[in-house]
Order: sequence, then structure tokens, then C-alpha cells
Amino acid sequence: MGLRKRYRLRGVGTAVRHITAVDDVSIQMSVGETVAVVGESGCGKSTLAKLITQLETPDAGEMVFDRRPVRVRTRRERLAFSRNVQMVFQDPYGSLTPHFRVGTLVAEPLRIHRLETRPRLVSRVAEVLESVGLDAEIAKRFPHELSGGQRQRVSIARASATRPQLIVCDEPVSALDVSVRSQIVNLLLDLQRDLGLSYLFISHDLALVDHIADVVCVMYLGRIVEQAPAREFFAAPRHPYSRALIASSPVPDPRRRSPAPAVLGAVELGVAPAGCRFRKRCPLAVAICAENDPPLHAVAAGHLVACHRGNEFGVPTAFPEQSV
Amino acid sequence: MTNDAVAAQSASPTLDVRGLSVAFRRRNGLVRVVRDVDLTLGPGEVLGLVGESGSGKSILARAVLGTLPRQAEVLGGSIAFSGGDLMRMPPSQVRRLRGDRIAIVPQEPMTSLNPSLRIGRQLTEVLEVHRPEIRSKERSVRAVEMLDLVGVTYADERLAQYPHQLSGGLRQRVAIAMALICGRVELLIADEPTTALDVTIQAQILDLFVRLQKSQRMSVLLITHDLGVIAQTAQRVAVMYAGEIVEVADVNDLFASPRHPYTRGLLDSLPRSGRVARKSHLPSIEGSVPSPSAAVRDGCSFADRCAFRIAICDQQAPPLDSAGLGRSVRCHRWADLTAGFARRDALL
Repeated sequence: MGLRKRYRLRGVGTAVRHITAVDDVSIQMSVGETVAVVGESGCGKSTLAKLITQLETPDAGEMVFDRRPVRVRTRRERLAFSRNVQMVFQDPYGSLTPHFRVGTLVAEPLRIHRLETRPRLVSRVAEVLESVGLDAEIAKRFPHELSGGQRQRVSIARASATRPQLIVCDEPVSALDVSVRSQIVNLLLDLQRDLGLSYLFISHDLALVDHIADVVCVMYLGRIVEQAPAREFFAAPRHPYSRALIASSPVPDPRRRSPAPAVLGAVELGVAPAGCRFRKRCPLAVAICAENDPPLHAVAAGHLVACHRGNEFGVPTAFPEQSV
Repeated sequence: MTNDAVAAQSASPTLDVRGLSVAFRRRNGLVRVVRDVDLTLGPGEVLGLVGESGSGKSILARAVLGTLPRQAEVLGGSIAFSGGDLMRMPPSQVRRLRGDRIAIVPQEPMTSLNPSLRIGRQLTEVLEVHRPEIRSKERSVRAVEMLDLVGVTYADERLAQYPHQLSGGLRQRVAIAMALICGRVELLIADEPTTALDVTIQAQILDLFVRLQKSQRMSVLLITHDLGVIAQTAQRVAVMYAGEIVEVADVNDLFASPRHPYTRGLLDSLPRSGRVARKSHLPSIEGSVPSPSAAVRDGCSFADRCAFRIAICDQQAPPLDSAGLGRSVRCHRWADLTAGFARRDALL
């Protein structure tokens, strides 16, 4: 059983409805590896991030970290876990407490985890700030005095200060200006190399995922519908939804203008149809897709796909042309 | 340069912005957010306006629409639209143009649509204001036709729905329908029209834009920070940095051989498979986007982030130089850098 999380929808009516945000998701990660989770809004990728960092409790499923089952029932257990698994959020404006100075913000994880004695704290904070490319002087400033890129560096400093093994990054560059994004991407790559970090990297930017990920997981309405080594995923995506995502991503090259978009309509949140949950938008749906929910099955080593027709697309082929 | 683009420029332009400067009044004086901008948009042309936060691109659009915020002040310049100067027209006349011959599709359809009015009412209201000669029964028919045209399914049922009942993509389609319903739009300003949308929906909306632009023969000013969207949609591109236009070129020329170091830096920094090894460093522009309220420096506004800065860049502001057919660049060194860039590109 993979991870599962249901939320109760609060409505005015009497009927209680639930939405399954993450539905039987299994992911394995190795040391120093980057696993990217891609998908559109409402697919459950941020809920998955909260489950993995134990900010939310799963309704079903279990997690093993460093060969031990994860338990965070006591404060001590939670501390031990959060020292090793940290998170970087999308919005560097909302994720830093505005009335703390940068120095206090970066010292906080070191104090909570008792990693540094008070006399050494200041010099350690300076080291951590320098490791993310910031001048130690910035410790005296407040978040609002910093640019978006500097703020995200502070968030990364906070996350990496405890020397974690895994950092969950939820869209870490999408709120930043285009000209500073690559600086932050480079910083994440450097930290991974220097500290042996693993990243769970949540993003909707497929070009970026192609650059930094070792493994790609595609989520759709709470499920993983395709999982593959990045190189193989981008060379030969099997699931029609993965292929639609790739085809829809605007390529920054006017000589490669893509034809009409490949999928129909939009996700209807919380309403997974019977059978395959993608079938109503799928240009390739056939009768069986309405009857059985396709299981996630291996089509090649390390390449899993949840599609009845996933075996038909070993080599990249063109989508049938569709009009909107 | 494509034949279309040449044709578009030789005809008299739909929109001609000359020397436009806009400033915000602040306690400590004026902050210039748009500085001496020249911009031409030909009939039936899609011009992409690229810039980061604070580059002045949205203020430029609002100046054209006549919807500048109260604390903004136009310091000079003209905005010619089909013969008249929008800057010198009485506000009532600009209001009549807006929603009729000049329309906007905003970034956030949730905030631009009135949450307490049904879709049908919002659409017919535009007709009531701008086309009073159309009778009320006919207005609803027109609204349904318009929703059909922009790909909204079950159009007649949608008229009774409220904006919150629609998905983001559908709301954006409704916003496009509102922009076009008068049927006389010559200039459509789209300010980050797909930024709030998912990629598959973005692709559908961009495709719709391109088809409508052709069928309605409009000029489109497409404002975005997303170079992918520009490459897929625009015919010509203007790049803004710190309130100034720093480069203008045909879309193919701009992406094939960017001439301003900023444009070049932006394009190089995009992860593109095949151009840099996986997991290797991406080229990046040092520093960060200047805040509009920061003091305007002497010389070139990009100099402190530029890898090619020389002494003159700190002393003199570079002019927007003509750099070939339909191209212009605001850089002291564009000519000698172009040769060097060309050599490097040949190696790639």
C-alpha cells in the first residue's frame, strides 16, 4: 500500500464529500538522487510533499527512511526526522517570518536541533550563509530588505543548515524572476554535490526537470501515472498525459512551434471517473479505459506506466491532431 | 525577417508609442518606471513584450489602455492609435475606445471578472455600453456565439453561471470572449494571459489566441516573462529591462542571435536539453533585477549585471541603436559583441 491522503471538503450542503489528494503513491529514492514530481495544479504533488516531510499524516501507507519505518509520534522522534528531511517552499516571500532577522532565521534550525552551542552559533550562521552564496553581513537584515533570489537562498540555508539527507523542494524557482532562476538551480546542484543531498523536486517546468532530475514521476488526480529515469522519460514518454505535458510545454525556440494542443478540456478536481482517471481527456481512449483502472506496471527496467495502451508507445510517435 | 513582419511594418501602424515616460510619485520624489519607450505594432501583428518584475511592461500596457494608477504621472511622449493620440484625448473618448476597439485580457481572470454577476450579464454589459443599437435579445445570442467561438462548451448554460463555478481555463476563455464581443477590436493587450494556468490549458489558450488573432485580424500586444510563450506565439519581440526597451527584433532573429547581453543572458540561462549537460551549471546573469525605486544609475541600466561592461557603460546611457532590418539594440558594444557571439554559436 502506498501513501494515501483524503481531505474532507467543507460545503454548505449536508452530504460529506471527500477528495483523495494522494492515492496509493509509492516512491523510492536513493542517496544523492533527484526525483522530480510533475503534474498540474490539483494533482496532489504538494500534498505528497507534505506527507513525505510529515507535515501531514497519511491515512494509509508507510514510509521507510534510512532503513527504518518513519515515526513522528513524540517530539523527539519528530526532531530526529526533521533534522534529516527538510523542505524549501515556492514562495520566498511567504515562507520567511517577516519580523525575524536573517541571522535568527538561519540560526533557528541549529538551535532547535541543538547542533551548535551559543558562542559558536554566529560563526556557524555565517558559514551556512556563505555556503548558499550570501554575504555573512546579510544576517543583520530583514527578509523584506532582500530580493526574491536572496530570500530563496535564505530558505535554502535554513533547509540545509541541519545537514539533512533529503530536501523536498516545492517549486523552488517558479516564483523567481527568470534571470535569477538559474542561479538558484546552480546552488541546488552545488549543494547536492557537496553534501550528497537527495531532492524530491516538485515542479511544473519540464525543461528544468529534464536538466536536474534522475527520475521523473508524473501525477494525475492523486496517482502516479508514469515513473521513469529522466533520460528515458523525455526520450520516450509512454503515458498519453505525460506526452501531452511535454507537447504543451512552450519551447523557447520559434523554429519549433508545436501544433494544436494534445488533450481536451481540463482536470475536474476530485472527480476521478470510473476506469482510467485520464480517459475523458485522453485522445487515445478505447473501450477498456472506461472499464478498468489501469494499474501502474513496468514496461521497461525502472519504467512504470498506468495506461492500458502504454505498451504501444515504445518509440516517440506523433499524437493524432486535435482541435480544442 | 518574415514577409508578414515586413508587411506589417510598412503599413501604417495600429499602435505607435513614441518617447513614453511614466513615473510614480513617491514621498522622496518621482520614480521613473517607463523611460523613453518607443514601440510600434503593425496591423495584424503579434508583438511580444518580455520583461521581469518591475521592468515596466505592465505600466506601459496600462498607459496604452488609459488605466494608469492614480499615483502615476506621464512625463512625456505620445501613444498614437488609429490616427489619434491617446495621451491627448479626453478620458471619455479613451473610455469609449476601451472594450470596443482596444481590449485587454488580464492575467487573473478571477479578479477581472465580477464575482457577483453571472457570465451572461458580464458579456452583455459590454454590448450595452459599446453597442447600444443591438437589442437585448440579440445580445444574449451574441454572447452565446462568442463563448462558442472561444471554445466554451455548453455556452447557453454557462450564461447563468458565476465565475467561481468555472475552472481557470474557462474563466480565461470568458475573459477573452468579453474582450472580443464588440467585434471591432483592433488592438488586444494580453497581460500575462496564461501565467495563472496549467501548461496543458496554457497551450489551449495560446492556440486560441493565435487562431482568433488571424480570424479577427487584430494586433496583439502579448506581455509575458515566459520566453517559451513568446517563441511559440509572437512575430516580433521587444525586451524591457528597468523601464527601458533594450532590444527589438523579429522573433526568429531574437532567438537565433540575441544582441543585447541581457537578452542573451536570459536565453542562455534557460535549461534546454542538448545545449548543456544534465545536472551541470546553467549560465546565469549575476545579481538581481533592480527595484524600480532604486536610484537610476548613470550609464547603462544593465551595466552592473553585465559580463561585457567597459568604462563607457558606466558613463553614458546607450541609445537604442538600429541594428539591421527591423532590429534595434540599446548597448554600446552590440556591434563588436555580435561578432564574438556568432563565433561562439558556430561552436555549439
